[in-house]
Amino acid sequence: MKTPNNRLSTLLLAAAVAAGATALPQAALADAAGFLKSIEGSWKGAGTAKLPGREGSERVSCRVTSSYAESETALQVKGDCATTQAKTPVNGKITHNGNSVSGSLINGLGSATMVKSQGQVKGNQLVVLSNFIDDQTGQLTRSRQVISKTGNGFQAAFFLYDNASKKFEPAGQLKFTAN
Amino acid sequence: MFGIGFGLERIGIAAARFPVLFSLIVVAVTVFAALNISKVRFDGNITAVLPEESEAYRNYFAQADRFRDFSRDVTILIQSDRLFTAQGLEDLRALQLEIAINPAVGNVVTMFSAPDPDPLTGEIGQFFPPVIETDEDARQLVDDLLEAYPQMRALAVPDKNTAAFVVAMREDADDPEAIGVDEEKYDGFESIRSDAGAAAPSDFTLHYTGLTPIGITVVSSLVSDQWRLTIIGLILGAGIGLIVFRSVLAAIICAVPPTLTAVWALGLLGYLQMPINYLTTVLPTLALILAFADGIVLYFRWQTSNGQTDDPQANLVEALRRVGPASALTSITTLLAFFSFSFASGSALKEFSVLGMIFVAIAFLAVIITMPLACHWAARVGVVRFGKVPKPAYRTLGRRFFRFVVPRPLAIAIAAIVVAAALTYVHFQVRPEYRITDYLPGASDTREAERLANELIGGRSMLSVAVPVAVEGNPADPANLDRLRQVETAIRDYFPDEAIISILRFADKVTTEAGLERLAEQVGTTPGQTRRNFLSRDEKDLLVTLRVPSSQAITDTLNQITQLRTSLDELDYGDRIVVSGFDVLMAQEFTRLINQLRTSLLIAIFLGVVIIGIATRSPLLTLAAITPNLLPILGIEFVLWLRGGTINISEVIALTIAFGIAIDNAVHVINIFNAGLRQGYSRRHALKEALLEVGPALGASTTIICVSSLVTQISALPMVPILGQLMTATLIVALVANLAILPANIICLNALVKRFGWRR
Repeated sequence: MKTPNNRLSTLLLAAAVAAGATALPQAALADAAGFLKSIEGSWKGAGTAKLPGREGSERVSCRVTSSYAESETALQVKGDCATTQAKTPVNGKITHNGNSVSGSLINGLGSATMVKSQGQVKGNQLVVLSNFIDDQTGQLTRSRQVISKTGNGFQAAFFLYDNASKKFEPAGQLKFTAN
Repeated sequence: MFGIGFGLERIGIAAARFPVLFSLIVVAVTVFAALNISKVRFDGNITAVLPEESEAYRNYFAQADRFRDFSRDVTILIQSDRLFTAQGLEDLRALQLEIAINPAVGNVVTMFSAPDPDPLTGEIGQFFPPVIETDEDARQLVDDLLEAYPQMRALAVPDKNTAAFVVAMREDADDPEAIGVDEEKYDGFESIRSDAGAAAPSDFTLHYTGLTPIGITVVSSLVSDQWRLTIIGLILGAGIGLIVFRSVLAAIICAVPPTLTAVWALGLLGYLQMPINYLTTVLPTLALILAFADGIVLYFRWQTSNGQTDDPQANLVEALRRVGPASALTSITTLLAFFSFSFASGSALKEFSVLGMIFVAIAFLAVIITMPLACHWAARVGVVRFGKVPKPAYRTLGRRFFRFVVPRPLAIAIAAIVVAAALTYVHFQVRPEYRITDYLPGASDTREAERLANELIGGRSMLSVAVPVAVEGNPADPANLDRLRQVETAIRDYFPDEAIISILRFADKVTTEAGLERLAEQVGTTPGQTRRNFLSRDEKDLLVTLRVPSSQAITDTLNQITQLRTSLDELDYGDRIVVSGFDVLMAQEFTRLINQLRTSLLIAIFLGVVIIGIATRSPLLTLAAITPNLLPILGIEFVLWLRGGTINISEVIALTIAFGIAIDNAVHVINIFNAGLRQGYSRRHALKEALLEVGPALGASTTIICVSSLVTQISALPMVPILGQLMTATLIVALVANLAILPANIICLNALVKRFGWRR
């Protein structure tokens, strides 16, 4: 079973991991390694998110720390995210091969498995597409995150694919600033 | 055969004979102690005084482990005129989310945390939408919330422009032992306060309370108190020495033993790494007061002899021989008063008992060793005057009392017995009391926050009732909900409905079986610390929590709990229901503890009188010492009874210590009285000599202790000034009792013995 809270983790970590692009110059951000390295550090974010299985959007806040490991060509993320009802620890790991991002954004989801994840850097934006399969129901969830640089941080927009309208619908937005 | 001082005065005589050797030892010990003072630590945990072997104590910590440690929650009260406008609520929610992601926080519960379960599907939603558009919407949302969940009145009080956040500190699930580690909680709280202060709009006023802020407030008061009380106590004592002896040298010499007592006592605490808590904080000050009192009597005798002969060394030895035994015995009686605390339950009181005894011993050693050394070196450098010395104060005190007692000893003795008997009745009418605000500085923000919490949200303190599940694996199973319903029904007989919270409160809003199953799934998968607000770690118990004001008298809380327990015991599974919480712990254990301490006080009185009997080997003097030493205690209990009929733990301790000091008066009178008898005086003459010699010294030492005790009035902690007031009142009554009632009893008992021809 996928729960609202671990879904929250999925959503927020995806946003957090893909976020950043604040410290390095444009050229350095143009590759995945440069982008992932640019989001090393401590971040605080706030915004709204629509949690799967729940009606409407909810206010969320996160505090995460990310560090890039050269040996694994991976960015590891850990921290906490909270709604007004609960707080949950989040962690994740993104690896990259050249400019292609892959791997699991969230480790230890428990009830959902990421079956596909692919992203790339375009300009000062990082776009990541991910598919999840609910371990119990087998339901497929497709997501897309778009990370845009802002003045003192970045903004992460999150979309979920709606089978009825056949397009990605906005599912949340978080603004991150350095903690 | 030892005299009344069991030969302990010989230590002082040795110091007078080998001043260089003893001076070197004193310097070495003092340097060692001074180096350890910086290691002194402080502990603000109020539960530290409770007996850990009691059932209530074990339940309290077991409950904290099985569910979570509610007592460590920080309650933040937020006040603003615009709090319940649309923007006010948005700002409040943003503040909650900001605090929630602080690393020290486990979870934050506010009005925005209210669940809104779908009646059909059981899916938990949020009561408040992500955006609150208008002020009308804001008002309507809050009204709807309070109608749906009356319990939310503890978190939202629109008519008082107040909201409350309950911040659960993060617990390390892998390390249950981490529960109650104060330093980490204190650091965490400071970090939360800093984040909240930075994130809150400028027109929001934040008040913090809960055991963690209270602990921090108590610790900071203990730290500031310890140094202020010690230093100002020394200055006051020396100042009074100056007034009594009308000599700067006397004031300086008399300040030596108490100064070293303070240094040695604090150094010992630092060396042993024993933290100073709200009980032990008074011990160093008390020890230095005792050292002042005993030192004054000794110096008094030396000064008197110096007025008659110009051999300071011989005068010193003579003073030690004459006053030393009484000093030793007074230290033993005070030590026994502290020993009586070891009969109470709990390691903290036993620690207090041992430390108290050690500090009394330190004060005695400081007097009996360093006073002769100070006198010796003062004489060696030629600053001691011989022949005519300034006349001390109170020189007519003994004579006045003697003249008052001699014409009417029987009337005084009988009146004392009658009053003591009447006051014994009052002793049993005084009830134990505990209020957490009594331990907080009057002007502190935390005390104000606690007051507001009691007044506006019905209190922040939580009682918890753990109910065993009927069916495992599904907390929202109808059988489990039925149990919660039965328990809540029993609770409602004694507590207001809006104070009760359990999973039943939102389960009752779900109307379908599938919905209840979905609800149970969501409870089961909620992050641990939030889940444990309702469900135990092993999922075998459900929790019902009750909010209670900390201002409530513990006798009332104890009655409520006892009645509730009786009702719960009528349920089939009643014997497996555990009622716990900080207030349950305090109501049960403080009542027991205070009663134990009052018994200890009676033991102390008994032991004190018995030790006088052993030291003097005179049953007559033992009997004579009973009423003058009972009356100060019973008299002060009478005053407490008039003030409201309650007594708290600090007051019992103050009375016991005061008794230990007060009985010193009897010892000094009896010591000189016995010395007169040994010199061949008649009983009447010996008694007169005793009052003439001891009266001024006792008057001076009582004045010095009382004035030195004035230092307690500057303490930030409300309990410490009360302790000082009680001690002062006890000592004044004890002075009068031992200069009037004791001689009257001795005269009457002698007459009785003479009349019936009994052996003495």
